[in-house]
Amino acid sequence: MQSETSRRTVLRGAAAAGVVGVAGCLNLGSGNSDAENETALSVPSLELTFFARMENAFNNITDERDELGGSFYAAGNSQEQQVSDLETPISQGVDFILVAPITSEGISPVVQQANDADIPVVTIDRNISEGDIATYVASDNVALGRRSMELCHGFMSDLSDKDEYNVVELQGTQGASTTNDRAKGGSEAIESANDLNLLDSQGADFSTEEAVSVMEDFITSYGDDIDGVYAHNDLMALGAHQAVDNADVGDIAITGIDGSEAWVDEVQNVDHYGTLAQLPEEMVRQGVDYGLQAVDGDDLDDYYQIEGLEVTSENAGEYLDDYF
Amino acid sequence: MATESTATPNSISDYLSIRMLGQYGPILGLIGLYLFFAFNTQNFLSYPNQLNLLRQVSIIGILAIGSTFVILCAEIDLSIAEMMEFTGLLIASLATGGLLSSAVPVPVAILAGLGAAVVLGGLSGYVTSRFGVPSFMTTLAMLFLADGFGQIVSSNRPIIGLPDALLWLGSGDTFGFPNIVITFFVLLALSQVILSYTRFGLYLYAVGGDADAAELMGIDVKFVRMGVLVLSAVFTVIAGIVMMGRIGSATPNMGSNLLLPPIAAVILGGTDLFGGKGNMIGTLIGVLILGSLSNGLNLMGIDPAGQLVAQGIVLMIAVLANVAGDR
Repeated sequence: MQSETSRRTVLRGAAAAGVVGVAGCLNLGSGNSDAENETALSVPSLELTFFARMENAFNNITDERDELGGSFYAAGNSQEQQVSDLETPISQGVDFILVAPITSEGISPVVQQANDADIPVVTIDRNISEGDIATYVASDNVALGRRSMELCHGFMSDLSDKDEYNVVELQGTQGASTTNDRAKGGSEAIESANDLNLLDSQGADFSTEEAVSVMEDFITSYGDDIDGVYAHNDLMALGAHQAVDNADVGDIAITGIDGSEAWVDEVQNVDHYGTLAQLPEEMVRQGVDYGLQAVDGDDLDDYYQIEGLEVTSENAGEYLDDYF
Repeated sequence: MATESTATPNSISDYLSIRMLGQYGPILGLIGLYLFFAFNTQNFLSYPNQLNLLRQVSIIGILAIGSTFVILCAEIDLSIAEMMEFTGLLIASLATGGLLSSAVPVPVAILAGLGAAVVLGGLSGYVTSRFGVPSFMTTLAMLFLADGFGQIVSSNRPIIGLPDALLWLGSGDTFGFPNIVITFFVLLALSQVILSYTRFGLYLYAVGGDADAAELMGIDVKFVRMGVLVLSAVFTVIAGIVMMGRIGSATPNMGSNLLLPPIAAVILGGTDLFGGKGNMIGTLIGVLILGSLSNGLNLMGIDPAGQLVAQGIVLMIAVLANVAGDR
């Protein structure tokens, strides 16, 4: 009995020490306290390369500029965590906040807190539905979708001369605004072209693995009739390529959106593959600039669009050199 | 139907039919789905599509085999998807030279992945069996740990340019049959042999059925509990390797949406969520139910929302049939 109690006490002590130790190591939000301006960037999750690139860009910017200090937060895709992540810099009294919201509703209360504390909030990548923001910096997903479908159309007409081209669409996560916007852009492009026919459209959750399966099923259903694939992101374009590669159905044009390294690496070697690259580095850079202007009290537009960069086999190598 | 019958359980024939439904529910469900899709699509039963279907279920299937061991033992492993992600990314980054200064040979990278899985699975298993922490919690902790490790070893970037030797298991063919499917079937058969013909298999059912009684019989319950979690971790490594072959790369989110389907497949196949009852054949049927459902609905061209509704309905009916069988 005696020994068991003491063992338990030791364990409990060790656990407590561990928690304190971990908390000490994390040392969140230290930043560069000598800087003239302090900021914070909160993103949904580092699992997506897109946000990891934002982290790198943000760290580079705060390193480059001596007058700017900043802390970075990733919320592990938890809306509740993102709210906590934002409360910390607000209570520390940073000069402005950059946030890529997980959902458009979730952070409204904490934006209200920032408004009350006179801290300008710049939303990047995704906007919020309620609350006052200084400005919003993002790509236009409808435009990206339209341009990606147009790029695919161009590739299809390069590959063969037909009266009508059949395209299949790999949609992202159902219900996500990105999916809706990119689908809308795609169908706008189909409507404005008179020789495009949407054969089928199916969700693959932005995942390579699911895209392989869905594309295999498309090939089973339509076989050689498929001329092109429009994928809502590059990871799914990669999956479509994988399925096409295994199936021996001839050349199929594939375009995605995002500009991820793995897909652009394929694009380098295939003339009828391409993507519309989003530039998270540019979003963060402009977000910081507009945030600083907001601190100075300058007038800002409601929205600044970051143009997507068209990447094909011609400029893929250059793109990889510049951003990866 | 099930609720109606359970309300009046006094007739013996009713009781028997519900029991039978529970026992043969999974296989009947699978046959029903096959018939439905055979009549409603052109290509569902074609050989190429059936091969596709088997390819599509293999990863979930391999994870489900590992989970069958765990669930038979009345434990749960919530870390499978993230463990697959981490060990896959670890192997990929070692084999491409992303992690160390130079690329290591593929077998060494795989051994490192297996080593990491055994250590992490062993850690979950040790904490669960030694301190009596529910595996729900230890493997949840492991989920976060593995997710973080995966992000660290990959620097959050998809890993490309994997060596062919690493892709072979997931993308190659042997005698015209996909290696990924052969891997799944071989593992399934081996696992059924372990369950049916080894002492470990016997102990597993005993511990899953009644851990206290098993302890009294002199079975090393702690060893069995730890063993199933290590086994499950090892299966995630194999799943990770075939996953890389299938998608031609290793991505930091390749495990997303792969936690619940394997567990659902195990339960669909008639394994008792509370342990002690079930087998690998059931798991195969469960995996095929999930796979044929999404494959068939894709072939029918059902839109994504409709697919979700259909999946919900089929799963609900399937679990009802399972519960009815237990009454």
